[in-house]
Amino acid sequence: MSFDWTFAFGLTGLLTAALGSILGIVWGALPGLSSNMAMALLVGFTYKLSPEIAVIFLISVWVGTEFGGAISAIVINIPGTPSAVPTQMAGYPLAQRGQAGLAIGTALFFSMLGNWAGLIALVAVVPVIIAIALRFGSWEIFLLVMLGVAISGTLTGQEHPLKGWAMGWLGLMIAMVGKDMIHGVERWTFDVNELEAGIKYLPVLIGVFGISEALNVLSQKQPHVVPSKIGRVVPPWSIIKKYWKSALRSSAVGTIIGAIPGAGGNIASYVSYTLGEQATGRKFSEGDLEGVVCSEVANNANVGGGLLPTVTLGIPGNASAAIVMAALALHGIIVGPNITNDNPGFMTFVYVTLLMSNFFMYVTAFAVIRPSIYLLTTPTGVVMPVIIVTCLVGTFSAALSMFDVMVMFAAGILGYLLLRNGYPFAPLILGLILGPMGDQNLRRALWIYDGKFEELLLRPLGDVLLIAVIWSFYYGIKRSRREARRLTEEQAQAKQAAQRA
Amino acid sequence: MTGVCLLALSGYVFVSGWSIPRPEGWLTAPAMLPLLLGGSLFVMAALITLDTIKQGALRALFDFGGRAAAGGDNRPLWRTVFAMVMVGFFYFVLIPFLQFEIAVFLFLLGMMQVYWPEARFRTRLALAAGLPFIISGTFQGGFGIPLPGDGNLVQDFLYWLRH
Repeated sequence: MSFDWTFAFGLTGLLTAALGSILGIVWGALPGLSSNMAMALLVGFTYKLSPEIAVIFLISVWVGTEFGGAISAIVINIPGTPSAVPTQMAGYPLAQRGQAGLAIGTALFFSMLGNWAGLIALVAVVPVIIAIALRFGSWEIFLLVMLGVAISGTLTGQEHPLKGWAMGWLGLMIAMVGKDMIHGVERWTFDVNELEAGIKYLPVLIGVFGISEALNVLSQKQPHVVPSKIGRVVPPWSIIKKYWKSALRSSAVGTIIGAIPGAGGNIASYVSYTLGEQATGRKFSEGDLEGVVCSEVANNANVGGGLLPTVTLGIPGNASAAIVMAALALHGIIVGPNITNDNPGFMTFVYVTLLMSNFFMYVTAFAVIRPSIYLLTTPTGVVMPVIIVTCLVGTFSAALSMFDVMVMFAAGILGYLLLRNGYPFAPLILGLILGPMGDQNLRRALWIYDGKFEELLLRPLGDVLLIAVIWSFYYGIKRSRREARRLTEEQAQAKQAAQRA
Repeated sequence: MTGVCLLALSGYVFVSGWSIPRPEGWLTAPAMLPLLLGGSLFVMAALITLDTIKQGALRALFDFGGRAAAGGDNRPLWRTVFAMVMVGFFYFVLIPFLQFEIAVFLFLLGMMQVYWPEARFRTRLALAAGLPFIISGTFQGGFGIPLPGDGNLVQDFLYWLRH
């Protein structure tokens, strides 16, 4: 189907963008409700909307939640979204000093700048990546899938990349359930009819980002006090001028990390925050507007960056991008190198939508910030059960299947257990989405080359990807060893200090 | 514990993968990638399990009783277990046999009873009774999205209005 970018400027488009932004900001501000959760719940809701409205709505919600997370992080010291944790570290001490309004205003302005950076990168790089991706054969696509899962595991596993890779592998394995697409052979279906079509990733997405996060929040008791005054919200020009260098650096960090498959806004904001501390030589955790700038620019630039591999290669840049991809698939739009041929005008429509969402995020935020702060008092004991019900409705509405609902609940409970044990979700989801693509392309490549690996190794693009996969594993192992050494040294030092005492 | 589960799952996939038919030999075998994945995940899970044992996972597992006896706070665990049981009860008992709004009302009331005890019962009752109709009205009434359950009151009401 073709897209007309002028639709975004019509009354319906404008209203949808405004509504999505408001919903996103409010949602992001509520503690524990991440952008992934918001979007996962809304996929089922967008099923009945036209593809244009669905795209505008989801992207506006995504952009809104990325900023909204900063509100509760700064005001009540609880990050609304995981990517707002660095904002919380730098921003909450400012709120304690009576500068909550200034910190929120700065976060808002620099969030807008971050979105601009992501958008510019998207416009500039998409044609180049599509041109390269069109030269990919089956072998390269298989390696790209493995690269995405491996990098995602390396980055999200933090000091335990093995856990990240194990989750990616688990996702790929779950994707193998069902009838295989080449021969129609059943794999681990256990004579259950519903399993013949495989395990759909939408119920799993809703389960791990909706149910498990709700269970996680319900298991905690976090009373918080909302301050009665937040002060001036619009930041003075001097502050904007002062932090332009940090904004520029964080834009690059956010966009690049966003473009890496599976690496979300939380990684971008952490890296940007750490680089900011190294560049300035200051500890942002004592309360520093520059820390807020680094974090917010990066997690918002991540939106455009995350869309980059999603639309060009069909490999989601992060979990939110995976959800946008799922919503598009529900409308029959398959993203990938052929997106511009199959859906003329789609890319321009996405650019315009990002532009509009960014504008509405900035404008509506001024109206929404103060009511959002009052909403922070909403008890989680009311919000989370309602979210569980919405997860049920969202999953059921996508395919009218109670089996999918069961998969969603099972994924939610499994996801909660994995979360408690420090296993990341992103590689699992990426593996689940990319599994069928990897399976079919590996078998096709081996069939075309009659199993001659030496000939497969003569493909230069494939070699580059193969080296990247190996490097990803090498980097993860090296980093985990360095981390283990650091921990051992710290323990030895603590022991020595205790003995001396 | 998670490492052991992964070990068992990957081992099962690796072993059972050999019995999946191979219509055109190994090169295009439907079980080729699952076998590779199962084998490598088995190694990863073994390394994870060894690492957690090294970090004292076994000691922590068997020390659970000791911690409870020492007055350790197990409340978060029970809060989670209750939520999981309620989710199961909602899916297997309430939704299949009751109308959507009634099932949601009972689920919300039960959840609020445990997770929002500081509120007055009247407030909880009012919210638990009102919220299902907001959800049902938005999805079924507003967007025509079908709801799970043994029918729903909003749909019945809309039908009654039309006829």
